[in-house]
Amino acid sequence: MLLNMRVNGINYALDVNPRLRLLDVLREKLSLTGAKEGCGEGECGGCTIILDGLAVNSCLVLAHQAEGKEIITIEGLEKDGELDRLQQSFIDKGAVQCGYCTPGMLMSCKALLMKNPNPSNEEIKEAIEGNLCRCTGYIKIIDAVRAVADSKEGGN
Amino acid sequence: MEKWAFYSPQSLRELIEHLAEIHNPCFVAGGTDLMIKIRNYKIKPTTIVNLNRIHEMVYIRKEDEAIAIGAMTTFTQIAESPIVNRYARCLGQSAGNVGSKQIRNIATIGGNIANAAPCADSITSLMALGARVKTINIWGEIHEKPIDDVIIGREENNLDEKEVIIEIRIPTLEGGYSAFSKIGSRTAVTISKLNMAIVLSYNKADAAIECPKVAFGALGPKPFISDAVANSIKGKKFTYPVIDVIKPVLLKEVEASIAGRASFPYKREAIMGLAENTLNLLMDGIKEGGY
Amino acid sequence: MKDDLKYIGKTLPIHDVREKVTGQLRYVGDMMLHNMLYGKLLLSSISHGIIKEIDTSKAEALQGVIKVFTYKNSVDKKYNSYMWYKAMDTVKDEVLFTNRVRFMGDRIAAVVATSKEIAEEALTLIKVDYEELPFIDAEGALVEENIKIHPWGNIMSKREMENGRVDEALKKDLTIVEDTIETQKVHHAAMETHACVADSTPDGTITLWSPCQVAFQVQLIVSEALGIPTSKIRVIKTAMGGSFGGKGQPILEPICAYLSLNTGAPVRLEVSRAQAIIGTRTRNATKGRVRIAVDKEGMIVGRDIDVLVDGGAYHTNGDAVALAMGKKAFRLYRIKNQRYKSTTVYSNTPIGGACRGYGSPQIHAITEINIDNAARAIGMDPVELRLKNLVHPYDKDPLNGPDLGNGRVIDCLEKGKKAFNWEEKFNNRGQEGRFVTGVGVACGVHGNGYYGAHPDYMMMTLKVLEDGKILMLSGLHDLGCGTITTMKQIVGEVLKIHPDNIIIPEADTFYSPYDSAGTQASRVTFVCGGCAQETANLLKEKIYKYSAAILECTEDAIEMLEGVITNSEKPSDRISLSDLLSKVRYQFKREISVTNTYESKANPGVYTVNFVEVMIDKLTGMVKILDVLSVSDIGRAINPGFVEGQVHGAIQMGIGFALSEEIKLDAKGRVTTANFSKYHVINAPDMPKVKVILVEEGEEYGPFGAKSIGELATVAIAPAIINAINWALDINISSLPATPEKIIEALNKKAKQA
Repeated sequence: MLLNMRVNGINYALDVNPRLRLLDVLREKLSLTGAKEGCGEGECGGCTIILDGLAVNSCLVLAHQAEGKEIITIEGLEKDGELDRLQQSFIDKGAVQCGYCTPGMLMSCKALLMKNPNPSNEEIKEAIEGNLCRCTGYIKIIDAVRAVADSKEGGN
Repeated sequence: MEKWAFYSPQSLRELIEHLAEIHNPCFVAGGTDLMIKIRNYKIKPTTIVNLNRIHEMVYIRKEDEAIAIGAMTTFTQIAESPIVNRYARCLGQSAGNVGSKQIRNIATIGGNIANAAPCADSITSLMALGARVKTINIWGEIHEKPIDDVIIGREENNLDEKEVIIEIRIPTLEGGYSAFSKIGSRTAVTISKLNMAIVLSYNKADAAIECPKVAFGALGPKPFISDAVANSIKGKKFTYPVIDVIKPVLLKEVEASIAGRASFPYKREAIMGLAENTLNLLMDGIKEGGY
Repeated sequence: MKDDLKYIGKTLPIHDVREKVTGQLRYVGDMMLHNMLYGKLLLSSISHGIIKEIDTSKAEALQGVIKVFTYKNSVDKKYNSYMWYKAMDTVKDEVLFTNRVRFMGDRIAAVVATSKEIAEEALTLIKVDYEELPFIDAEGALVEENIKIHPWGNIMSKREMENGRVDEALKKDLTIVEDTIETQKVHHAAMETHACVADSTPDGTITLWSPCQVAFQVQLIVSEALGIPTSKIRVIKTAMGGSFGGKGQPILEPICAYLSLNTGAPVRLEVSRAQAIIGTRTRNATKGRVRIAVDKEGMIVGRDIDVLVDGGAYHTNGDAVALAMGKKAFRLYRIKNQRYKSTTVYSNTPIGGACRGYGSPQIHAITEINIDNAARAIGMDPVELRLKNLVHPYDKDPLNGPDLGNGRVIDCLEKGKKAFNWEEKFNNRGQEGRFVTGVGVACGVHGNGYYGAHPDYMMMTLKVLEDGKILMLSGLHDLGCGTITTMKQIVGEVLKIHPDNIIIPEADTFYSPYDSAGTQASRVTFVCGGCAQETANLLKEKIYKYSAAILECTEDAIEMLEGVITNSEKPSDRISLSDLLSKVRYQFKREISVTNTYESKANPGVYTVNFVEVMIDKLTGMVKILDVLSVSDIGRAINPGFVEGQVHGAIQMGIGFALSEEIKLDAKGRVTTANFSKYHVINAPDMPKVKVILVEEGEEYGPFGAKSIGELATVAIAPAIINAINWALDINISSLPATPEKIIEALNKKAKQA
């Protein structure tokens, strides 16, 4: 069955089995393996992508539910070889350890800043409440988002 | 592997036109609960009817004596809605407490009702608010029924196989206030061990509670209205410590619902904290104004 | 310590950070090989029983299913996945697929199919008919008449160690405080579940890609389980999406290798989160009875500890955890008379294994809660009591274990006491009203490798490359904690060359020199780092020797900075490392390379002290952690940012251990918390701010004075939290996790007593 969607600025028309989840299609058909399956139940946030401007667990969405929609994955954050400021801030603040939660975490934070360039710390925590991390205790992740929001360019 | 048929109508009319031909449809709204059941082979669908392209089912409107919420409205939209937070604050509070940010971004109020989980946060608020559920069937007939009639038990609704929830209607009450709170295992992203919503109207002149309605969730197979708790605060003044009035009634309610269960010793205590939290939220609401 | 260091003590990002933030890093679950098949496991749904019949015909008939494996058609060789070297003496009781179910999660079958969806569906088509047997838990294992989980009985091991005369000490006229404290089974919750990929050639050579902690152990276990020589098995360590000990023992690797060998195709085998929770490894549950004798001045005169360790359904390292717990009990306080006894048992519960701290979080929960109760019993501030009894630098181990080294736990406690404003906070509990506050403290000790217990050595090659960069060949495994960057900083410091110019591939059993123990036992910074420092010094000597020959000066005159070698007596005479290599090759027909074997010479203690402030809702029993201070004696931080990161993550894990995480079983031994909506790890809204203070007084044998941190940092937080709750509410929670239910129960009990 044909699925049309726009991923990281590219329009795709794919033949996709209706049983597949959006996560499966991103990872297996488009080789966008940044989104990870950590639980398959929307509890860990490893598969978070941005769907029409909102952070969404791609493990809980059937691929065909994304028909006609616009998707940004972690692979779409870097522009022309230049990291998004949020990515750079994760590096600068030491917000990355094993890295497995990082793509989902970044997409949740990016979705937050797209909507709210000046979030409070509470709002940052709320944005990542559905993203589990076992390595960092979230502290440096929150610092990294804070730093971008507080920078002179703001979170935009 | 069995192939699924997948069907995505783009309007209600298109949905109705095709429903008759579809054998054993499995409706997907947001999909956040359904996907887990499918993955665990609790549901084995053959035909998926995806509702997320029916954009006419996404709205929050203030009407004369009610607010109307399209069934495909997400919890994020509800939690952020000024209309909801003015006229049905407890629903906004419960919507903001559902799952995680990612879940709220796609999970819908219609889907939540159809799923009928005993701990569903929004349903407790809808019960207390006296919400009514509008559905449509294959003949295009629209029915409106109290939410209490739609949800009949643990993960059980009484919708026909081809009946779809299209709208939730919440009566508005002049001088009304409401609040919702829950107790889970952690601050956020947590299934309710217990939740509660209170709706009442409050006459500022004599400071007395009028028309109270109280609902509880996760205290049985489905959220329910407690007349006993409501009656205990009816006519009481807020200047009086309302919590002391309802404590014995709360205890009786918990005993009646879950006595003998393993969770009973905890819930009989925790409900006091929950009620206090809910009343505090309600007081905050009264101070700020809003229903 | 002298501080003219260039790269040690600097916070550099983890080496592969750019791939990680761009989603480009390929974990094993992201790997695709040509014609790759997908494996899925069927785990038992009951906790104890015998398989009467197993029918795989429907699964085999499903289109896309290549083959189904069960005990009927697979190899039946016993192994113990905990073994990491051949001479290790241990009990072998595990097989690839079992016909006797010993816990809910035991491996029944594997399906290999052309897609993971088909493999998953096929699992639902396998019909297993069980004859159920009674569920035996750890306490039940002690009952002689109960059914035996393994033919040799339900007791795995018993241990006893003692210094002084405990029975006499406990008879004296002293305050004796007894507690029985329980710790629960915990899931590691690495965000990446277990996975691996295997490929094989027609001659039976297997290549395995695995996010492992010890590549040579994977090779050994595959060899043991499948009965094939190690030379036919190549193991390549892949990117690791978190382990915390959970991926220490090879679980999927022997199966995946078998599936590939028997289908002749590459196979990727992955488990779901539910399977990771029930069917991999867990932190061993324990129940410890402690009796401590203190005099009026607060001196600990004697202590008697008796612990029941729940090893779970298979042996693995149950006995080793019990032993590790015991050793720690003798290395934190000066206790003249102490005894530690342990009984480790089999039970029909998920298998125990290594888990961050390896018994330390358990023994410290048991003993540090008890110490607070002792302080309460004699009316003494628990910090004061600890200060009187803690070990001093260069104390000896009373059991004649390795020396404690420059152990600075007293410094930690004193610094922390001040920084936390302990006295004021401790004496001002906010006990009025619904929300009460209180503070708690706990200390902890951990180790630095296997010296004194197991062979602890590493082989390493360092060589200069054509472009002047340095290549390190070694069997290293970065678990996502920054091992590779740490090694780069150490070598970079010795050679005064930027760490970016050091290239370090991770372990590959075909190419890596042997390493005796991998990333285990907090040995990496101390032992592997020690190896890196020594080997880099040897390389430096060699570079200096050749440079002196080529620049025609003495070695003393040679200086090297960022890959440029200069004759300091005649600074215009200089040569780059790259050119030096060309000349050495041409003139001396040699490489600039050294291969070194480094054996660890010590195993000092590392120490941590945690302070916490909690707020408890007396009505709901919910606990909020308001503040955490972690003070650790780590000798020297190679990369302070990494150290902070380790502490933050360790505190997150420890809060879960204290408050919410538990693999729960029902009365029939079935796991009821097999997903993240029921197994609650701490998420961002519940994570408090954590202040980190480091005591850096150096350790003789550590690289640049460094000791371990990652495991240490999680051993004291849980008892500190429990102590804070108990102090705030005047209760005695003695079972972890301190759930709201347990707190309410304790408050009710207190109210009844009053």
